[in-house]
Amino acid sequence: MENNIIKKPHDLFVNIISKGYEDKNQNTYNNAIKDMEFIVPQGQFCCLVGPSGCGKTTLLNLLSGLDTKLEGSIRYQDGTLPNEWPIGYMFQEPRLMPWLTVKQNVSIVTKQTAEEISHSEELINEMGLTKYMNSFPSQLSGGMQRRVAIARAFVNKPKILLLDEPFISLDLTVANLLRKMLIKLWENQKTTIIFVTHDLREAIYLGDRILFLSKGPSQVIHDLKIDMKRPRKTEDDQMEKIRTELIITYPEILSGKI
Amino acid sequence: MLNRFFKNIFTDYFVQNARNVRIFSFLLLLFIWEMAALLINSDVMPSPKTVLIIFYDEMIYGEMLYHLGVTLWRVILAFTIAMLVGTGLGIAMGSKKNLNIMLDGWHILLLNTPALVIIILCYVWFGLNEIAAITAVSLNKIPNVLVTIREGTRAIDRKILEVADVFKVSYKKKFFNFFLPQLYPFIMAAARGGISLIWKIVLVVELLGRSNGIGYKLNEFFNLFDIASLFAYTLSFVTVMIIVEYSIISPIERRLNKWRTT
Repeated sequence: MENNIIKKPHDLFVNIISKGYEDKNQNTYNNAIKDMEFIVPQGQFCCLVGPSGCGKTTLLNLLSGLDTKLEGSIRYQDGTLPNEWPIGYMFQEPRLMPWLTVKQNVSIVTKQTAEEISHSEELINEMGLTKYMNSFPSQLSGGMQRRVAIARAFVNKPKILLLDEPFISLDLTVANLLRKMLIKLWENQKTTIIFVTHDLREAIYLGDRILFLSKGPSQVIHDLKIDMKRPRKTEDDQMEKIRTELIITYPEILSGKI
Repeated sequence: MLNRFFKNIFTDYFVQNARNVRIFSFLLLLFIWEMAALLINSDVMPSPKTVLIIFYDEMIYGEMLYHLGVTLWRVILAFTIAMLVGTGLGIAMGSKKNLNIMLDGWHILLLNTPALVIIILCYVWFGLNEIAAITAVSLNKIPNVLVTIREGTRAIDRKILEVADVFKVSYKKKFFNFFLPQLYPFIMAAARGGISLIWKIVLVVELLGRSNGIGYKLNEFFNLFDIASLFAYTLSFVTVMIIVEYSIISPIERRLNKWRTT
C-alpha cells in the first residue's frame, strides 16, 4: 500500500486488528474498529472522512494514547509509540480555560520555560491575536477562540497533530480563514496531521490525501491522493472535479459504503 | 407635589448611590437602637453611647484585645482545618462513587449532630483543652464544607480535564491548573459561609470549657448581668469579621473572578 521509498522515523504505522467496547448494561461487545490498516508518512496532511458513528473518536483516542487498550499496534517507523512524543490536539469546541488569559491558555500545556513562553507568544502573533495576548476567552469571538486552540495545538512542536472536526459550526468565511492559518502553520512546522471531518470539500481543500472510513466496525474503504499544488484556492474547478468524480464513481462513499 | 419632591430627592441622593444607602441603613440601625434604649430605659438595653464608651475603655485599658486575639486565633485554626479536611473529603467523595457510598452515612450523621453534642463529647473525651476546642469547632464545620465541595466536584467539566490528558501535562499541574480553578467558586462559597458559622461556634466552645476568649468573657458578663460589656465585646468581634471580609475575602474573590467580570 505504501510506495514511499525514503522512510522517515516518524512515519506512522496504524494496524488495528480489533477495538471495541464492552457494554456492561447489555452485556454485549460492540466492535468499533476492525482490520483497519494505513500508513501516514511523516509530515503528511491526512484527512479522515466517514459517516457519524464510524469510530473516529475512538481512533483519535487510540492515536493520542488516551486509550491504550487495543488488539493491534500503532507505532512510528522507529518503533516508538505516538504518545512518547509531543502530541497536538484540537477538539470540536475550543476548550479553552475561561480563567486563563490567551497567552496562559497556550503556554499552560508546555513546561513553561522562558523559551516555550516566547514560542507561545510567537504562535499567538502568527494567529493575528497580538492585541488579545492578555484577554480572557470570554472576550473573544468563536473564531478567535479557535485560533487560540490552533496555537495551543502547535505549541509543543508536536510530531503528530490530531484535529477532530475543529471548524464545525463556524460560518464559511471564518472557517476558510482558519483553514488558511492551519495550512500556514503546518507548512512551517511540517507536522503530521490527522484531520477528521464530515465535509468533503474541506478535506479536498486541506489534505494531501483522504482516507474514507466505513460505518462501524470501521475500516478504510478508500484511499484518495489529492495531487494539487499549494497554495490552493478555496473555490477551485479542479477541486470540484475531484469531488464530482468521486461522488459519481462511489455514490455512497460518504455514508460509508463503496 | 411635595411628595414627589421628596421622592425625587430620595431617588437622586440615596438609591443611585450604593454607599449612601449603606450609610443611611447604618444610621437607621443606630437610631432604632437609641430609641429602644430610651424607651426601655434600663441596664438590659444600654444605649449606643454607653456601649461605645465601654468598647473604647476595654480596648485601651482592658483585656479586650487579648481575648479578641485568642478567639481570632481559634477561629483561624479551626477554619483552616475545616476547609482543608472538608475540601479533601469533598473532592474524594465527589469523584469516587464507592467512597461516597461508604462515607455518606457518616457524613449525614455528623451533619445532623447538634453542635453542642459534638462540643460536649470532645471535652469529655479529650479533656478541657485547646485540642478538644479546635477539634469540636472543625468537626462542626467539616460536613458543610464537604457538601459544597462535593457538589462542585460533580460539576467539574471533564472536557477541560481531557485537554490536560491529551497534552500530557503532569498530575500536579492537572490538579492545580485544570481541576482546582473549576472548584474556586465552591471553595469561596464554603469559606464565606464557614467563617461566620465558625466564630459563633468558637464562642460556645469558649463558654463551655475555656478560660479566655470572647465566649469566656460573655459568660462572665452574663453572670454579672453586664449587658453593656456584652454588647461591647460582641461589637468588637463583629468589627474584626467585617475587616476580614473587606480586607481578605472580598479581594481574593475579586481576583479569582477577574475573568468573569471583564
